Amino acid sequence: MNKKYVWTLLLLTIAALVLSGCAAGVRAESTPGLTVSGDHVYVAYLSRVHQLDRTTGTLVSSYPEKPKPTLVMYAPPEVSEGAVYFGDLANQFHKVLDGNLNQITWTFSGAKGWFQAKAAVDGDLVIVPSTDRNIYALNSSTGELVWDYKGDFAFIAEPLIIGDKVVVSSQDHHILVLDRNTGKELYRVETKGAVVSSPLYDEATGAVYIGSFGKDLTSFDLETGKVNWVFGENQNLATIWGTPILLGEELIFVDRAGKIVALNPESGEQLWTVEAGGSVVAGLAKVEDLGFLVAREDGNMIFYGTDHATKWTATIPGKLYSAPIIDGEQIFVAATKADSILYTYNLTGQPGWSYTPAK
Amino acid sequence: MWETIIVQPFTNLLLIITMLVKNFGFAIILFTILIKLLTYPLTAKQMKSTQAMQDLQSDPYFKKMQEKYKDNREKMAEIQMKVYKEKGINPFGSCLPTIIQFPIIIGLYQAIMKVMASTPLELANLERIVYPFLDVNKILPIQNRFLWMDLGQPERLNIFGIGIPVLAILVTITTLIQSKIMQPPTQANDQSAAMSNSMMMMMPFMMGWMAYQFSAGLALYFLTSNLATVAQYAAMGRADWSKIIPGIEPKKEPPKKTIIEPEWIEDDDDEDEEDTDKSGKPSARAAVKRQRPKRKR
Repeated sequence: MNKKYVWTLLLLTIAALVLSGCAAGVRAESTPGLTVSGDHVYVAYLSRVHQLDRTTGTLVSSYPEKPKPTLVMYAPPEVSEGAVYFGDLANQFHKVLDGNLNQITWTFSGAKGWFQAKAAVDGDLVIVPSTDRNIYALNSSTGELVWDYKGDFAFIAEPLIIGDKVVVSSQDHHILVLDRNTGKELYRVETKGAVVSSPLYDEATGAVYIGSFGKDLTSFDLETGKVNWVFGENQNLATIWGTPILLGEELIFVDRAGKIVALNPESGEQLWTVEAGGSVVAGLAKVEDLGFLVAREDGNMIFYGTDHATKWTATIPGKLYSAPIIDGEQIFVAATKADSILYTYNLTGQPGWSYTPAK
Repeated sequence: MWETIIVQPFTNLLLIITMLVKNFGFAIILFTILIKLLTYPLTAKQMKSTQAMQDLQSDPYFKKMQEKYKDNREKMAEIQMKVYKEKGINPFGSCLPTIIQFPIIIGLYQAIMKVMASTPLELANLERIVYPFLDVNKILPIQNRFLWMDLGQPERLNIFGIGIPVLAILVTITTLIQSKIMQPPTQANDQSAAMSNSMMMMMPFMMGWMAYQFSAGLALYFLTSNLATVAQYAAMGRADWSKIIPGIEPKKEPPKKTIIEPEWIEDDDDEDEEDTDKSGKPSARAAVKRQRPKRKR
C-alpha cells in the first residue's frame, strides 16, 4: 500500500481520536455527585451510580450492573422513602429501588438535555432541574410529567421545596420562586450574577440566602419575595459557588478566592473574615456547635472551630469541587483526579475508608 | 503552557467576541473566520508550495530522471535537491504551514469546547482562565441558544416529530464540496489520485459523523470552517467549480513551464558517464569538461 495513504489514514484516525476524546458522545467532565442517607452513601460518577455501606465503604449495589461507555452520571442521587432518584447525561431520569439500584420503578425520557443537578422530592412530587432549560415536576409514583417550567439557561443546582413553593437557582441572574402545584412563576429575585449553587433556607426566619457570580450574597423573605439585604458591594469578593451555612448566630459563606465571610443573618452586617488560602468551589459543611469544614479546590481541607480558628487540616491528593457532607460522626468528601472518588474522615480529621470503583 | 499560550488567549478572544455580538452562535462564526483570515498567509504559502510540488511531479523530465535513477536513491536525492535549490522549491513548504496551523486549529477547537461549559466543573475551569480584565459576571453564563439550536447539545431539527441532524448533513455536504474543488488535477493511473479519491469519500462522512455526535457549537464551527476554506480557494482563483456544478466548463490550467531543463539531465548524463583511463583515474576529456564554464540558467 502507498506509504502516503497509510500516513494519511493514520493522521485521520489520530485526528478523529483526538477530537472524539474531547467531545464524542457525552461530552462532559464533572465531579462525583454525592449523597448520604441512612446507612448508605451514594456516589454518581462517570458511568455508574454506586451505593455503599457508610460504615465500611463496601459496595451494596451499582447502576447499571455493568458500566456502559455511553452512560455518564454526575447528578447526586436523591433518596426518599425507599427509592433513589437520579438522572444521567443521556437525558434519562430514573426512580429505582433503594438497595437494588437496578430495579427501575420508572424512567422519565421527556427531557432534551442532561440531568446534572440533584432532584428534590416532596411527597407525590419530584422536581428535576435539566440542562435543557426546564424544571420538570414529575409524579413520584408514576414518573408522569405534572408540569414544567421553561427558563433561559440550563438548570444545574438542586431546587428547594418549601411548603407550596419551589425555589430554583437560575443562571439568568435570578432566583425563581415557583408554585409547587402548577409550576407557575410566583416571583423572581434578582442577583448580580449567575446562580449555580442551591439556596439556603432558614425555617426560623423564613429567609432564603444565596450567593452568585456577581460577587454578592442576597437574603430575601420567601413569603413576600422582599429582599432583606445584599452583601458584596465594595467587599472585594470573588464569585460565590457554594451554598452558605448557618452556624449558631452566624451566616457563613466562602468565595472562589477562598475568603470566608461571616455575616449577621438578619442585617447582613459582616462579623469576621478568614482566608482559606486557596481557591474554593465546593462550599462549606458544618457540624453544629463544633465548627465548619472548607474544601479547597487543591485538595486541602480545613476545619474551623466556632471561634473560626483552625482545628485541623487534611489533604486529598486530588481536586475538590463538590461540597463535603458531614453526617453524624463522619465526613464524606468526593474528589476528582484522585486515586479514589470518595474519602471519609472522622470529626477530628482522621481518615477512614475510601472508595475506588472497580474498573 | 499549551493552555496559557494557545487555549487561554483563544478562549478569551471568543468570549470578547461573544460579549460584543451578544450571540454565541455568531461569535463562533466570526471567531472561525477571524482565525482563518489570520492563518491565510500560511494557507496561501501552503497552496503555492503544493502547486509547485505538483508541477514538479508532473514534469516529464523529472519523471524521466526518476525513471533513470530509480535504483540509485542517493543520486536521485542529490539531483532532487539540486532542482529544489535551482527552482526555489521548498519540499516541506506544503507541510510546514500545516504543522504551524495544526495547534491553531486544535486551540480554536478547544476554546469553543471550553466556552460551551455545561457542567459546574467546566464552568469553574472556564472561570479560572478568563482574563482579569474581563468581568466574569457579565460574560457567564453563555447563552447557547442559536436559531433552532442549543449549541451545547447535539443538533436536531424537529420536523413532524423526526429529529433531523441538519448541521451534520450540511457539514457532510460542505466537506465534500471542499474536497472536490480542492482536488488537484491528476492522471487516471496516478496512485495518488486513487488515494485522493478514497480520502475524498471518507472525509465528508467522518466529519458528518462527528457533527452528528458533537455539540451543535462544534458542528457550527466545522460548517463555518468548511465554507471559509471554500471561499479562500475561490478568492485565490484555485476553486474548480466544474467538479461540483454540472454545465460549467472545467478550469483550464495555464500551459505549464517545464521545470526541469533537459540540459540538466544531459549534463548529468555527461557527469555520470565520466571518462576514465585504464587506471581508473578521470581522463583528460573529463578534466576539460570540468573546466568548461557552467551554463547560466
